[in-house]
Amino acid sequence: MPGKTLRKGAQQSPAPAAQEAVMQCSSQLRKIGDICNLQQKILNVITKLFCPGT
Amino acid sequence: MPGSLKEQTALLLGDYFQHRLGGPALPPPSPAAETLRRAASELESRERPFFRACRPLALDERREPAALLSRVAEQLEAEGGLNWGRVLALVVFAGSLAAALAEQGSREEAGRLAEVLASYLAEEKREWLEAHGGWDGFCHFFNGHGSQPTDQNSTISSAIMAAAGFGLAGLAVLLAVR
Repeated sequence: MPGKTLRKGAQQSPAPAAQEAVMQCSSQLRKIGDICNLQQKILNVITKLFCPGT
Repeated sequence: MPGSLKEQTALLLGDYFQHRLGGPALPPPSPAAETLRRAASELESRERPFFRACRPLALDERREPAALLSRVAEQLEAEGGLNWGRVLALVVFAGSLAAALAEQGSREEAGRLAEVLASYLAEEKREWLEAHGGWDGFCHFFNGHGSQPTDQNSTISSAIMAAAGFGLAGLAVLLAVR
């Protein structure tokens, strides 16, 4: 029974599922963080170019 | 910013978590705290679907959300190390988990997340933080090189005005030449 097999598999391996969630989460956070970092770097360069005194 | 890096980090994250969980509306204790509140709020608004989707993780792993945060932090910097954007994303992530826990009545567990994150940043990542100017460096980075947080808008406005000025001057020169 496919449903039964699936449920049995899920019960036996909760750790890999949790690990997968951690990997996905950290990968997405990495992307979000890198985009944010790049945007701020560009903004800082623009600010430095046009407002060198600030 | 006075105090040791560990104290500064605990104060900064304590203020952010309190602010994020809807605590009493106190003024930020330092320019870095003000910057963190602003930058985190902007990032969370921009990436709201992702941070909302993360909230159930805190409840799924209700027995150990602090362990989840530690594992995510470890994986986050496994590729390419840290940068201020990644640090900010991690803080917002921890704040989202804490908010989910607080809504379920686990305010103590939410506070534990702030402690775990402070310990990770100030102890495990101490060298990186010090090499990047500590929390003053964070403030410096997210405020366009040293201006005060409240001056951010005026700095951007000045940059736009300067660009517009150059454009108008160029147009005037073109018209004069023709």
